[in-house]
Amino acid sequence: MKQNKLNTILHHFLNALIPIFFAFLIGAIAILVAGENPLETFYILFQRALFTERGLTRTLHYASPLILTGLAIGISFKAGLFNMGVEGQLLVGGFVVAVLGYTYSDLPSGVLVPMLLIAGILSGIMTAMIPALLKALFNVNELVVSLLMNYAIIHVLQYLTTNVFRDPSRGYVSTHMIGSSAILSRMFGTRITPFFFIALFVFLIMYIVFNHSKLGYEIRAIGKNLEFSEAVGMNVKKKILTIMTYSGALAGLGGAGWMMSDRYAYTLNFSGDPGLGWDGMLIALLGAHSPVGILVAAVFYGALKSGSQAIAIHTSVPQEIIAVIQSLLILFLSIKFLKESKVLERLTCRFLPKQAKEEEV
Amino acid sequence: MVPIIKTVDLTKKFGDFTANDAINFKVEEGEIKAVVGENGAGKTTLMNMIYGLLQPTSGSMFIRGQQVDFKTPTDAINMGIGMVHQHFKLVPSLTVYENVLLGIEMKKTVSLGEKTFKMPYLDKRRAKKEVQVIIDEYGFNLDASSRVKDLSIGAKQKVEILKMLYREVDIVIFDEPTAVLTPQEIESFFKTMRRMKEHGKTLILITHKLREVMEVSDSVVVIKDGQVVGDMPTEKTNEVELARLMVGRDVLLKVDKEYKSLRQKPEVYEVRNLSTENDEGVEVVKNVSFTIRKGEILGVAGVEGNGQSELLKLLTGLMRATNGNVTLHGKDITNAWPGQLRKKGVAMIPEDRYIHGLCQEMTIGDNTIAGYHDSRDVCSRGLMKRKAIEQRRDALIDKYDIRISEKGGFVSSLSGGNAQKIIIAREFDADPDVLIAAQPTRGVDIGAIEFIHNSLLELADAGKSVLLISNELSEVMSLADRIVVMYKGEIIGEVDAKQADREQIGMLMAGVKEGGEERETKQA
Repeated sequence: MKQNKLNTILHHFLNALIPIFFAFLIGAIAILVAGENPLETFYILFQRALFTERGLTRTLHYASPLILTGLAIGISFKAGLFNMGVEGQLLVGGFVVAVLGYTYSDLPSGVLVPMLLIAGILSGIMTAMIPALLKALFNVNELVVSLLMNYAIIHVLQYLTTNVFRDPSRGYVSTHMIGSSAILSRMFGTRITPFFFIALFVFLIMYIVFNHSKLGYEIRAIGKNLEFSEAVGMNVKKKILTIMTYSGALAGLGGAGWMMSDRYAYTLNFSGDPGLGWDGMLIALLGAHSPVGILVAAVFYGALKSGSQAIAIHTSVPQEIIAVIQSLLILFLSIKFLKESKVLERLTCRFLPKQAKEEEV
Repeated sequence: MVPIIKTVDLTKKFGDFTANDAINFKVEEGEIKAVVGENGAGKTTLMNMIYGLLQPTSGSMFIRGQQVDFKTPTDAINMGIGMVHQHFKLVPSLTVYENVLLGIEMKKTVSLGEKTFKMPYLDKRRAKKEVQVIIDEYGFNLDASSRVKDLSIGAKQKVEILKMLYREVDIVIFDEPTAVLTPQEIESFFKTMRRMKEHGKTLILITHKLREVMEVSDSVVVIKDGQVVGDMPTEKTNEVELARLMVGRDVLLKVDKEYKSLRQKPEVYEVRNLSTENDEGVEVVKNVSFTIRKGEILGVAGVEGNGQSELLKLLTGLMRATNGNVTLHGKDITNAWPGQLRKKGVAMIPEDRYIHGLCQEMTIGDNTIAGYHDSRDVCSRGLMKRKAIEQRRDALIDKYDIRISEKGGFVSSLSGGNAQKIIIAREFDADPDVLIAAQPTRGVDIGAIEFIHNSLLELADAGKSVLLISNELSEVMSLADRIVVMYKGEIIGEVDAKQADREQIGMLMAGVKEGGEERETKQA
């Protein structure tokens, strides 16, 4: 059994490492073309991002929302549910916190902060409930609904930010700053805020949920074999709602925490580019939908983000090289994705007759 | 005489697994050769190599003394080898002759002086005539222009055979041809086989039904674990010897069932006027009623596709009834979902092991608790008790003699029989009042069949009620106390298993009622 487990871990590890290797390899070629030493550039990237106090705390700060969105994607994908709306759920969470954090800025921090975090979670859940209910009640494809809702949400929030909740004193489109009592302030004189520890705590909870809980067991079963799960008596409709609740809550919390620890006001660029939800998808993929994998991948991703600034400062390589590497990573990861899914198996089925495959067992 | 088919050390490996190990196999021209073996023994792999669906890893094949190397089935057909698959490959909306000609359609030709031109449309009249000639030659009693969807299963099989005959093959391989037929259709199929033999065809029959081997074949080859363990003329062997060769030990072919009077026992499970429609709005289960007493096994027989699957889905909460009701101990459980049914004491062995019964990509331990995973033994306050699950798994593995290579492994690493035993262990261990068992021995080897049959009998002896839905008539006949026969979604008759004979049930399976006799037993 130990051997088996070791094998799967190694398998996941290689599956994540090979795409990273190729992404950096091709990234290196781009750096060479730009006339710089790629090894030196990568050294600066990781040395600054992971082995300096300033860089590491920045890395962990960037990783915080990514841990949450990665888990949000991970829990739904593991159950075979495709919540592609994590980005939208995060935006709603962030926006609601921005509005409430300004409106109730008189409240003391001890009341306001928990209230805002809960508000972010609830908004994430409510947003996720739309595709979840449609799926559970009418069997509408949750992938399509949640994916397209992102764009609707972006534009609704753009309208609200530009017209209803705009802070007229600012030169660009933005809501009012949240009150100082709503801010999760920096700790130990570094970039780290309580948000990182909240994310870490949530990670621990999710680790137990994934690996030791009844829900985790049911998520595995539903993700692996839906018909089996139904036949042995799991109420799959109810589980869809539960799983999407978790997913939405994680995304909403991610948005709330990012707002309170980094952005402080909702701008049209709140989630960055390509967006924390989309990054979460890549992280979940990189971490093979396992909580520990997601944690490691989120920190790695945070390192890329914070290291890119170091590259800009210390080398003449343009910062955009990181964006190039990230895109390459998506490309190579999707190749792995293809390998793991049933696509190849189905292809072989076409050429091998069914009986032969059965005899193989 | 040169054998028509000969293989020399034919070997096929799938990765590390050797499906066929140096098989030396010979078929003489004009004989009916039976190939028997347990599931997974490698008989289908061997046939697939001869038919060009698989390529051997090593070894060689000779057809009429000529060495061949088939890349595709087309190569095999060109050498005169055809195969009739277990699942028909027919287009229901097309006619018999259109199905026969599919892939080798005749173009209409037009003669202009000395030249003939192929026209871009089909010569239907000629095609129909040619197919009808073959039908009459073999006495198939078919009309070349009737639509395949209107034909019975037996007739559809004849269309499959026609396809081969039309392509002028002289060796035909039948893969488990009788699995989907009624006893009467099987008789007719044997006649067809004998007629084909008279016409000089060589036939290979893959089967695991030994009765059929004895009845129709000239010689028989037994395959076990990818090797030939027996090759002899049929007249020089018997069922008991063949079964022993297949399994490697003595096997009880007949189940010893004690029939007890169950009249006085209380009725536990009752189904009244149950009906349902499928997605197309066709009534697939019609007005089905029966009761099962304590300690009784009620068998449901019928040709596959006559509503048994839908009845099973209704009773296990996977399909909703449009009418009627189901009661357990007098309490209504109609349309309860599977989780509720399990809590109330209804255990289920589903028809399709790997779809509804097990999750292949989960561990054996996880599978042994599925459906009962919120019982307090394995789960407290939403957390799973890893240790308790493992202990339970080990206990079940011992108790049900499940053979596994690795306790922590996935179910996908188990053979069909052992996978089925996991379901049996899980459902029996829940100590149900009623067990609904569908095709409990489908695709399971003889050794495991014996075990499963005895387990079912023991369960009934322990005072549980069992509903046994099976397409294996002999299984239903040897295990059940009473048998109901389903035909086109209805229960067409009921017989007492003690006095039942194959002929009588076969007639019912084919939809022929014999008047009042069955009705009377039902009243009793």
